[in-house]
Amino acid sequence: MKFFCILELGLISTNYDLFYFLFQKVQSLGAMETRTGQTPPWPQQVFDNLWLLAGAAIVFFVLSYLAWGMIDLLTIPVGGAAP
Amino acid sequence: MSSPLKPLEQHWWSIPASRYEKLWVWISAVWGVVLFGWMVAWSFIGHQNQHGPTYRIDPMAYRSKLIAYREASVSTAQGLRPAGEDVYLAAMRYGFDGLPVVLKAGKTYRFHLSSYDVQHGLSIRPEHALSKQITLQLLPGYEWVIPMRFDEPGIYRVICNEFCGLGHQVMQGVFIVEE
Amino acid sequence: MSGLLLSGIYDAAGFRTCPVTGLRLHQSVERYVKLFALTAVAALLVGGISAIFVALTRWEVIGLATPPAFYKWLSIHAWNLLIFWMVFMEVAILYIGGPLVLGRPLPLPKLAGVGYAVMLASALLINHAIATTEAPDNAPLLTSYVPLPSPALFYLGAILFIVGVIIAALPFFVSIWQEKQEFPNRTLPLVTFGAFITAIIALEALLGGLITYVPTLLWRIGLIEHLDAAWYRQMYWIIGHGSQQINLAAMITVWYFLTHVVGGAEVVSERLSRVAFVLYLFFINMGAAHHLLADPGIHTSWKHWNTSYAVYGAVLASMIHAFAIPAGLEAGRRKRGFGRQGLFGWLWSAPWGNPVFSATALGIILFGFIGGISGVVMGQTQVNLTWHNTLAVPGHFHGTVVLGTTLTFMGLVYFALPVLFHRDLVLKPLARLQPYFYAVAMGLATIMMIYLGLLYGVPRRHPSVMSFPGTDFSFAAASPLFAIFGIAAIFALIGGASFLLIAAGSLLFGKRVDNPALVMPPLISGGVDDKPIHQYSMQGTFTLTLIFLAVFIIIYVLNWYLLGRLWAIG
Repeated sequence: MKFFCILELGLISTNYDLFYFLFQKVQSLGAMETRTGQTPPWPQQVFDNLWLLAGAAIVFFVLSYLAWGMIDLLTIPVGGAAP
Repeated sequence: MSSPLKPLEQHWWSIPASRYEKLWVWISAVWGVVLFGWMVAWSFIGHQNQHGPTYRIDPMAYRSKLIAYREASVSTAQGLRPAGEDVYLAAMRYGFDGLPVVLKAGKTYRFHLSSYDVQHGLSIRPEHALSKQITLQLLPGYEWVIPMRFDEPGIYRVICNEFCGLGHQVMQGVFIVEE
Repeated sequence: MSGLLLSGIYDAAGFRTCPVTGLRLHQSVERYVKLFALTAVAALLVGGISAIFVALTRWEVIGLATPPAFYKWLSIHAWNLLIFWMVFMEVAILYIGGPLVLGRPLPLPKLAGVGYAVMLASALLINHAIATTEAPDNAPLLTSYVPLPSPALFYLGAILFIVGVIIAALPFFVSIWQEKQEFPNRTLPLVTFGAFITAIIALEALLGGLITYVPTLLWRIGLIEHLDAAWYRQMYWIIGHGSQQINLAAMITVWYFLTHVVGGAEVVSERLSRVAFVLYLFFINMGAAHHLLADPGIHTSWKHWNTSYAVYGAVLASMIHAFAIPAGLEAGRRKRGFGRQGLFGWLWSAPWGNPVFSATALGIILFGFIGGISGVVMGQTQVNLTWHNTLAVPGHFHGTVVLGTTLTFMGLVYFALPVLFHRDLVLKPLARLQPYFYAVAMGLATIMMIYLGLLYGVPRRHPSVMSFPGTDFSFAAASPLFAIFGIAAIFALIGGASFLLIAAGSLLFGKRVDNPALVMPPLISGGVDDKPIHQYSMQGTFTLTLIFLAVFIIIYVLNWYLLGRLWAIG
């Protein structure tokens, strides 16, 4: 059980680091000047793709909350008879 | 003008934010890590964690377990005295089966928690300190085994704080922790 | 009635230009925004009446309703306020954030009409089902936890309401799609982006509701034999908490909107505000886990991950908005010449006499300090043990939904009355006072609920904690605080009734204003664009947010201290 928790923690912190690494990386793109006419920076393109964002968010929620939660519930063992 | 009502044509992503805003974002991110980290750390170093194995069990089967536990315990005027380290409780409309029970202070018991019928809330506090209180959710079909150790002797009052029907407001129980 | 819904002069294409916001709005959008908003206010009235019975029963000195009636009134209170007042207004907000701000006609207006009709009919059905609940059914409250049965018509009503909302949301989605087709290289306005995020959060919540209520209805009518209590809780809270996250996203979108049009705010960082909305999009609905923290079955690691919205990703979003919105006001007002006197001149000079502004500003402050902080703290897995099912929980959500979202939506109605309905406010001195009065009264009642729940362990959803048959134990020690709560609640009821009086009075008897700019002066224009907005000082805001953080830390530490005093668990 404890091992499972530590594994989960490891996965969570890796994802967290990844997310904030990406966040820092895109922050540094702020050094560019503001111009129109050329292609916008790729984070802006991602943010403008509403349907992609929505789809990704729904998938993330389904995995994080729903799927993981259902697995937890479905793997509850059956209890014994004697105390 | 930066209006929230106008569409944007420029490369707004590249526009830098004010230094105060950026500083605030970093402070907030650190605070978020602290919030998460402390909570996870408490799972390992803290003494209050709603952590214990859960089992699927039919309410009637759980009732049989409780009856067996009661037969193995000593019945006194003040309540059941458990024979070993296991204490069985079941919430039902409208009371708590297994209560009253007499426990020893400083001893860790395995509390077996369930419900015979609908969802109930197990709300516990010592009557001399109402601010020390917790609630655990009791679900029919599930047996939750949570260790608890009461260091302070006294009379502990139990009420149901999950709506369970028209008798919900009369549900109450008691257990005693003695030296 | 049609005069109420179709005022103003439209051109041949059906558009008019709003003199306050400068937006070009189409009559089809305006008609439905007003219809949904009016219906929301009607739900507020019903919910407000039920509040009399709930509050004055919990103050047992009065003890208005007996147990069976109390549970019904509590259910009416929950459904009409947490759901109908909120959701009808949110459909209006989607139409505002989408087609109205974009200057488009409402696509598929017939769908909007169908959605509205289904929503209204099901809202009436739910109210009816609650009012006529009898054995073997129980009042559903908000949550209708399986296996405690509620009336079959109730579950049916809930399903239909969800379907109605989805239908009503479709014109919004189509308007976004149309805008992206027509202008593929443009970025949507921030308010529109916020509305889109709100709509997706809503979609997740609504689909969760269908997964919950359809099987439950089938169970109630005997087609499914057994429904697992833990499964129900897992599914229910997707809509249970998700519906409240719709409120959060919609409220914040409205904050950007109203601080701009009435306060002169600008967007200080499109990037950060949009990042914050995207963090909400991904993480906010994980907060459904907050209700499952004291449950058996689910692993602690799932609880930590989900309750924290993925290492507090969504809280980071809230913190960003908490800075961005006041900062937008500060920078925008400094730019317009309102920032001369020191650190907070921009704030003192704001239109605090305008109920649109005061309701919004009070909403921002109180949501943050009371609702938001209590929410994050009680959502910490282990701390939740001391909050779960106590009166502190309704205390928290009165801090968010009432002091935050309701105050904000009141501000929006105050705005809509002249700008959409072309009515000047009646009882203006009362209107100026009402947001403050309501905020103070409701704020005090809320703080009392939190105190009673946390430090006395008083349960929620309970009509009679002052006596338990068969024992001399009771919560009588809490009587003095209940008295403060009761008196504060009475004043809050007066504050709420005042709002309804002003709204209805203005609609029916207010002076017609053909040019709302005369009574609702726009602060949108002003200042010269000599430097970018993010270069204006935001020191005042930074000071305020540091104070906010300090309060956050204090309350956080206090709660962990309280937990640490308990006996050993686990």
